[in-house]
Amino acid sequence: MNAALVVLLLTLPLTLLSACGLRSNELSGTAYLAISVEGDQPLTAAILQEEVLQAQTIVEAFRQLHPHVAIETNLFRESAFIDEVRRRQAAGLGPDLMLVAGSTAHTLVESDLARGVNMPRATRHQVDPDSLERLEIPSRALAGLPILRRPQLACYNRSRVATSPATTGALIDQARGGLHVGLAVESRSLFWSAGPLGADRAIIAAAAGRPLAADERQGLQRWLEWLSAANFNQQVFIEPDQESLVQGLLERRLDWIPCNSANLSRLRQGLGTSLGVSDLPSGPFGPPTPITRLRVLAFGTGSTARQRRVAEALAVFSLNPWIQSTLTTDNLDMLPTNRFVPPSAMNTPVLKAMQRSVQQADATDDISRLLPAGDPRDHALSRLVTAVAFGELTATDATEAVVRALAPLP
Amino acid sequence: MNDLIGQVMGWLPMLGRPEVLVQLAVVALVVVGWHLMARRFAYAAAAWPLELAATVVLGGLGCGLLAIAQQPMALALLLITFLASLQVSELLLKRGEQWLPEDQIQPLRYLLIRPFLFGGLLWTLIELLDTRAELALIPLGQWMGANVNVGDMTRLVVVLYLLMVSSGPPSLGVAWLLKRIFALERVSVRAMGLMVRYAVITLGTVAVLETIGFNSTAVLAIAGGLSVGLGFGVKEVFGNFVSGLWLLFEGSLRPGDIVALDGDFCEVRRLGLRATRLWRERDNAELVIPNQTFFNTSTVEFGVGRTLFRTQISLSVDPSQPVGTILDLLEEIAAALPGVEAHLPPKAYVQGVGDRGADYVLKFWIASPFKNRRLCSAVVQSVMERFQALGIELPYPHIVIEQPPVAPRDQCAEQPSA
Repeated sequence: MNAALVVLLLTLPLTLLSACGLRSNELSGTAYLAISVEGDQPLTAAILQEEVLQAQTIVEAFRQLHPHVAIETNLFRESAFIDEVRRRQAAGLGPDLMLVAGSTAHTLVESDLARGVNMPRATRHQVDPDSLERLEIPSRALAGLPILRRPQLACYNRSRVATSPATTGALIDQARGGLHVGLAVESRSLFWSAGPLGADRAIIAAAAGRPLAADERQGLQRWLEWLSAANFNQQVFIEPDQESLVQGLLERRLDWIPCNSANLSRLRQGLGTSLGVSDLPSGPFGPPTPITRLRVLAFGTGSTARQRRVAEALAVFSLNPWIQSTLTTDNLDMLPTNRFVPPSAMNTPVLKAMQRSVQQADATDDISRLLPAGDPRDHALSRLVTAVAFGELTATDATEAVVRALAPLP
Repeated sequence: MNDLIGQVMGWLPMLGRPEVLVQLAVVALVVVGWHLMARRFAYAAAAWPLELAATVVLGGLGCGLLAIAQQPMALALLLITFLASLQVSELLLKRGEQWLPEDQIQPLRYLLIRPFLFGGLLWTLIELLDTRAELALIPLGQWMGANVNVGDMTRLVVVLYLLMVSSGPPSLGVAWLLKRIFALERVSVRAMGLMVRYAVITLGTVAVLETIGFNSTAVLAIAGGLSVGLGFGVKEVFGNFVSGLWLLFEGSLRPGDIVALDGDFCEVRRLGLRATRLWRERDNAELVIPNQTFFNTSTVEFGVGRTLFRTQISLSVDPSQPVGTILDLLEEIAAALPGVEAHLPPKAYVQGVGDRGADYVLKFWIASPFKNRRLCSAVVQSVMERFQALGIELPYPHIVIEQPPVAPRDQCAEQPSA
């Protein structure tokens, strides 16, 4: 009987507390924000800091306006995000807000783990149309609110190389000359090189389940051959994941890596003024095809009315031009999704490189959609790329295997 | 630490959600039902299975209703599973009481089963309310040159606990093997097991501290400080501890042995690291004797299986009786008494002539010192009865009051005058 009393005594004040202030117009209460982290590497304090940096800035500014609001954040792996949210939702402990990749937001809505958002026309008008397009779901709703964009860039040590190589050929030439180049076998980190070698269309076609034309197949084989040749160069280091590349540059083992803008704060801290940032090299068959990570706020389905109000207010707040401009200029590691951020705020070399990267990434919107982060086909592609890079598979044999691995699941 | 407290406090508003409250109410109802059942069948032999059945039925019913209402129920299911596991463990422990001694049931319950169940519940709840990997990164401060976070501290506590709880049986196994391999007959397996266990715990602790990044110099300094502290502050405890280890290692005192303590015979029940537990036959009392006692004083000890005890009675006999007859009689009386070892014949001696008569000593063997008092009494009783029957006097102190004769003069003086 005592135990039952304890449970009742615990739940009663919580019920009363949760009922307090419902009539007040002042926003108050606690909302839970779940943030997804890409990659499979173990979570470290540095990665945690990197992933919550923007969210913290938004929350701190929001709490200045609404001091009675608290936002609790949780981090989950992007690949396990859906399962984690489903598990918590089943216990009634699901998050109120989720800061995730655009593709994850779509899956969340499809799995009834998040609700679609109907944005007012005025707010919708402020948001970058490309980002909106990536989040559209039937019934003219959105899978979430696009908050920020993290483009892919070239990061290098300026004390080792003055400027980033402009082409893939120059990159390999400079590697032969002693430049330590790092590449990750994670397909999302490596996909930028598909465009310069003419393999991007082949990958998109294979992921969409379309048969490949002869020139597309040749492009795919060329890309795989380039990867194989790159690894035979003693100065090109093939790493298992993006985090290893970042660590390599921080430890000065590597001089040049493809990086995500989210890594820039950490790299700046480690390398100081030696850090160089540029757009990625182009090639004989076209410009680079980087992948821009769109970060989206999706809304949970298990929130109370008060938590829902807090979540929606925070989401709308994070879209306003002032906070978007502050986020962009303070950390120089993201691009805003609000079109009305003053152009003066974007007038730095790093942000310009990011803007170029975002334009180049328009070509990869299809791949982001067809091959979302955490998709099992993504892992299969990474395994094949590793096999080619380490000479276990020839580029010719791997071409067919890549096409099969990318075929959409029935 | 503030970050950790802040994080934990952040879980509370989550528990105020209506869906969560409904689940907690279902669990509360299950607990109430369980307790009502426990009260109703408090004296029944099969109370625990009935309580378990009540939990399962009520829990299943509650979760079923939640499922029909399409409400979340994972939290209720988790808590009810925990309650049912607790009841199952109690059921198993009740069964285990038939073949496990009581002093092993309690550690099993409080050191192994319940901590594991509570740990599992906590682990799963944390995973529902937060992210373990993220929680583990919350810094607790810089200790001994290492940046310690919640994950490090949890690892340290869990590893130490597991080492302490689970290293016992494997250590005894290793000790048994060592004893067999090196033919160490006199060394107790338990003593070697303890040595192995402490070595494993020490190495495990050092390894965990090393992986966390504790400065080994600082750890050594603390170990040095502790040694000084042990030398001054708790030297008695430490002395008893070392004595206990030594006794175990030497094998000079083992459970089942009989020792004489202050003239009383006691059986060794349990040899602890600080103190030894003895059972005194005289008053059925259990004595806790610090181990150092056995080092500082000489102790009469009878090992297990060699408790044959030679005891004696003394008596005085009328000196006019022939000595040879008395000696034969005494030996015959003792040998005929049940409990006196027949294969080791009793022996009687005359010691001399004392105040009361001729002093005799009768020595005889008995199976256990614990029978000494009873058998000595029985022998004396037999001797007295036999001697009385034979008309042999057992002298005892006599008080002779002699009244001096009254003088005639005085008698006259006392006569009243006419």
